[in-house]
This record gives sequence, structure tokens and C-alpha cells, in this order.
Amino acid sequence: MAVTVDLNQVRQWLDSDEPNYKKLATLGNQILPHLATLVQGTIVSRAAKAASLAGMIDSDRAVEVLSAAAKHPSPIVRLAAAGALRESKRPAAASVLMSLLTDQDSGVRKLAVKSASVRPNAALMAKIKELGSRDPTAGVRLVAAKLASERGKA
Amino acid sequence: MNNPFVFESIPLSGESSCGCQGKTANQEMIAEELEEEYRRPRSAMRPAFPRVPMRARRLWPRLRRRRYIPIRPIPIRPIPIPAVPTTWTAPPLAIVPEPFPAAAEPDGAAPAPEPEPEPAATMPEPAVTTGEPDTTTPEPAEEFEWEVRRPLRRPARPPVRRPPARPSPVSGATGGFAAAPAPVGSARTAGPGCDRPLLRGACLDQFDFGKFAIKDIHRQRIRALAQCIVASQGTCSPIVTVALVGHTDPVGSLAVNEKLGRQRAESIRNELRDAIKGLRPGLETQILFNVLSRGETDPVDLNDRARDRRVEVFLHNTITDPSGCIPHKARLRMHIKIFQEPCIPITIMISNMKRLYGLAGFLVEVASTERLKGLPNLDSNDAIDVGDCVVGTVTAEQNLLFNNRNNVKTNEIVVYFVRATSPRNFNGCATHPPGRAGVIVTSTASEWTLAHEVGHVLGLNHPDQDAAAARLLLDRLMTSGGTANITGVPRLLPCEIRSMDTSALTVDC
Repeated sequence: MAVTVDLNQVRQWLDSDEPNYKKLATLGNQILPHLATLVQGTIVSRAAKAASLAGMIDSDRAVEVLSAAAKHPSPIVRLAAAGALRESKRPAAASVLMSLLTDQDSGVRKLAVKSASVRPNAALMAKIKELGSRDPTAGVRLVAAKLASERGKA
Repeated sequence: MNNPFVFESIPLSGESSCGCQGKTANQEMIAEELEEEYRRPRSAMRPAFPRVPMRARRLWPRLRRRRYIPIRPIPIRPIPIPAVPTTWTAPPLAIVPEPFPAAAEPDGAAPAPEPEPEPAATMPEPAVTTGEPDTTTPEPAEEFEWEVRRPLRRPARPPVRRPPARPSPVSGATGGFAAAPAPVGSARTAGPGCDRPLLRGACLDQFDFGKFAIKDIHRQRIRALAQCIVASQGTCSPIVTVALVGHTDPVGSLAVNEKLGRQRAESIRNELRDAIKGLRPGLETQILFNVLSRGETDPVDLNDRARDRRVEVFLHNTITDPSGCIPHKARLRMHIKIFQEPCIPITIMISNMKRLYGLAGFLVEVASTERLKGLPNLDSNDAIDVGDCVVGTVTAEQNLLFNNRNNVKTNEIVVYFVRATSPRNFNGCATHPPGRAGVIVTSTASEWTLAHEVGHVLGLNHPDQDAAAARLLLDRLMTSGGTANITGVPRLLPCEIRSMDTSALTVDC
């Protein structure tokens, strides 16, 4: 029997300093509408946690939530989206990652490189190689070059 | 024989008028052994951090000092030799009676090292029974002087009412440390709630509900304390620090009670300061007064709340602890390492943590603050990979971050302020590599996240898993309902305080 979850409950769960993501992810698609609402909210902490939780749900609707998170004005939420996309196996996640690889925040780009490097996607790999040689931030260049090299050997 | 003086080390006699000074070495050894005895079970719980034996740490340095400090000459009375009649006329013996110093006693007893404090008659005190000033009875020696009845650091216990027949230390139950029974009208007779684990101090209870005004029974006791402090100044171990800890009963909110406890402690401090000033003007400026409040967190009696409404006064004869650890139970040292500043100022997080942990008896010290400019493979803009932040699992990035300790000791905590965590977003994460105690606090943390995460490191867990229950437990520090939703000062339960107490990271004061 499915348990009905309302927005307030999801909000309370995500307010925790250390949400139990694994347990919350078992609720599945029913909480995605709430996550979509929360990820566009102004409370950065809650929006970031909503993005993290969405990444643990295997659904195209979850990728839409992450796509919205990737456009959030706060880099903390975009960071959460970049990290969450690492676990998403949906093909649609590649386009969201591609947008994050060109993010203006170096931390977001770096995390997006790490998430994109585990996906067998030629376009993403080409972008990672490009960042490895042309990114303005040394840390991003270093990580991108290293991951591109490892993937090339594999 | 030509030398009329011999030199002798004068032991502290323990015969001062207030009894707070002059404890003999033997008494001190007994006291230290008692204290050590009480500390032993707790020490046994920490095999990883063996302690320096108490006697080696405290007693011997004092005794060693005492060998050299109180040395004064004792004159010997010359013996007159009677003249023997002989045919030979001997020259007269040139024995001239010399006046002996006034301080020298014929029986060789050591003179008092310090003039007696002013008699009590100069400070009339009201007798509770008659309402008349009692100018004939000298100031009593009460139980606060140099008694070690129970250690400051004791095993936590539920607040239960003591049996009334329990012998009071004042009546001589401490093996002769106390001098005289307390008179009628003293704070002692006003409240047996003073049976607190005091170490060289006094307990003034029976405050009126919701009030911090001093009562007559307190004034009498405060004068005795002041005399004790003044009289100690001439000894080799003068009292230089006075710590006052205010307490309240459990009625009312935590914040109000914390404020009230502080006000009570401040009232006693002001009265004590005035009393010292009256006895020896200027001395009150040389005494360091530490005022603290524990609010309602440390009750002594569930059935008699007047005993909880109290101020504990601790007297210290050395400034060995400028950080003011005593009268806290233990101290917790933190090192702050900032990768990125959080939205809530770090000072607020630390201030809140100090306040809450202080209420529980733990002194939080910030040992160092360092800004991490950039680490190999880690930038300040990075999100630190913490995995699922599960106890026992540490990622490579966590290892990399926690390697930056910079001479931090193993029983100290490092707090790393970072931008965010990945792949999951947490406000903080308390998992850390073995032997490198530390927490991660992110930029989205609340003002209580730091205290919450350090609580995890000290062995505390979330008390609740259910969301509905979590909302009801938002007055708890370890709530899983989100510390951002806490209003006011959260609580630490007695069982949680006990857990923190047994952690190797909280070091005894």
C-alpha cells in the first residue's frame, strides 16, 4: 500500500542536518513533484538537498528536477545537482551535465567533470578533454586532464 | 651554641580562624587521595589516554614548594648558669638577658603567620533566631574551607533526594577538615542542598523563586567566605580566583533560567566583593571572579526546588587555570580550519556551542584558527566527497582533508568549514578517519550545526527517526528535524551529557 507523502513531510525530512537519503529515495516517484517545488525554492540548503535526493531516484522526472537545480542561481544547488547526476543512469542526464561543464563556478565545473567522466558519452568526454587544456582554473584543468587520460587508456 | 637561632620549616598549622587555610600536608594528601579515588573509575574508562597520577601532578609540586617557602628563624632562650662560690674569683658571667621577640612563643609553637582578621564584632550580623546582631559569637568556620567531600568531577547521577540522616561534612564527617558546626541561621542550616560535590568552596541555596536577591542567610556566609579569602593572603597559597556558578530550579524556560542563574551568581559576586573590600580595601581588585551559569541543567533535588536555586562558590589558590576550566567538568579543544566561510558566521556557531556545552559542564576552547588556502587536488570551491556520511566509512577526499591537522593532538577536534559535500548535500558530516577526530561543516549549516556535529563525534546519535517525532524534538541539539528549526537554546539530555563525559575528547579540568 502506497504511503501518501505531502510537501511538508518532505520539507521536514530534508531539513535535517544529515538527511537519510537512502531511506527517502525508497519513496520513489511520488516525492518528485515535491522535490521539483523545493529545488526552485529560495532556501538554498533545502533546494540542494532536494537535488541530492532527486539524483537517487531513477526516473526521467528526476532528471527534470536536476535540470531545474542546474539552473538555480545558487552555486550550492548547482553543486548538488552536479554531484547527484553522477548517480543518474538516465541518458537525459548527459545534457544536464553538459550544461554544468560550462558553468561559471569552477567548483561546479570540477564536480561536473567528475560526474561526467563515469558516463560513456563521447560528447561529454570531448568536453572534458577540452576543459583539461583550456579551463581557466588550474584545479579543473588538472582533474579534467587526469580523468580524460584515464578514460583514454581504458 | 653561639648561634641563638635554629632554622626550621614551619608546617602550615591548620589553625586559622576560618579554617580555609593552613591545611597540613597530611590532610592534603588525604584530600588528594579522596579526590583521586573518585576520579579513578572515570579514568579507567579511558584506557587510550592514560592520565598522569593525580598525586604526581598536583601534590608533589605543592609539597616541594612548601619545603622552601615558610622558613623563619626560631630563637633559643639562653640558659642562665648559676654562680658557684669558690675561692677563685671567676670573672662574672656576661649573661645579659635579651628581650625575646614578641612573636616567639615560650613553648616553641609557631606564631600565626598572619594577623587575625577583624573580629566579627566589627561586622554585626543579624541573628536569625532573635533578630538581634550577634556580636559575641565569632565568625564560624564552615564547611567550605579546604574540604574535599566529593570530587568536582563525579559520575553523573539522577537527582535524588538525600536521606536526612546523612551526616553533614560540617559536623565533622570529613575527618577533621571542618572546624566547627555551623550556627543557626547560616546558609548551611538553611539548606542541606549544599551537599554538592564541592571542592574548596561553598554552596548558597534557598534563593527565592524567580529572584536573585541575596538573603540574610547568604550574607552571613559570604562574610565568612570573605574572611577566608582575606586570611589566606598571608599564607603560601593565597586564594586568587573565585568561580561562582549559578543554578536554578527546572521551572521556566532554559534561556530564562540561564539568565537567572547568572544573575544569582553575579549577586553573590558583588556581595562577596564588597565584603572583601570591607575587610581589606584593594584586595577585591586582585581577586579574579569567574561568573558562570548552568541554569536548570544541574539540579540536586527533585523534591525540594529551593535546593536547586543556588550559587556554588569555588575558591582557588593558584592561577593555574587562566582559561577558567574549573568549575567546568571538562574541556573540549577545537581547531578551526576554514576552507570556505559559511553563511552563518563561525563566531556565532562557536558562541552557541560554548553556551550550550558550558551549560552541560564542558568548556569549549578554540585552540587555533587557520585558513586553508588550497590543498593538493582540493580547492576552496570544491564540494568534499563524503559518500553517504556513514560512520566507519571515509572517502579519499575526507582522508586528504583530515590530513591537515598541523600538530593537533589526538584528543582534540578539528572543524573543517567547507563549501559543500558531495555526492549528497549535508549541513555537516561527523565521520572521520580513526585517530583524527574532526567534523565537516558546510556553508549551508545552521547556527547549531557545529555543536550538533561535534556532538556526534562525542558519541551522540539522533534520538529520533520519525519525521513527526523529529518535529516534536526540536528543542534537542541532536534532533533529526534540522538544527535550523531550533528556536532558542536546545537541550542536552543527562544521558547525552554522560556520553560526552565519557568521551576521550573531553579532558578533565
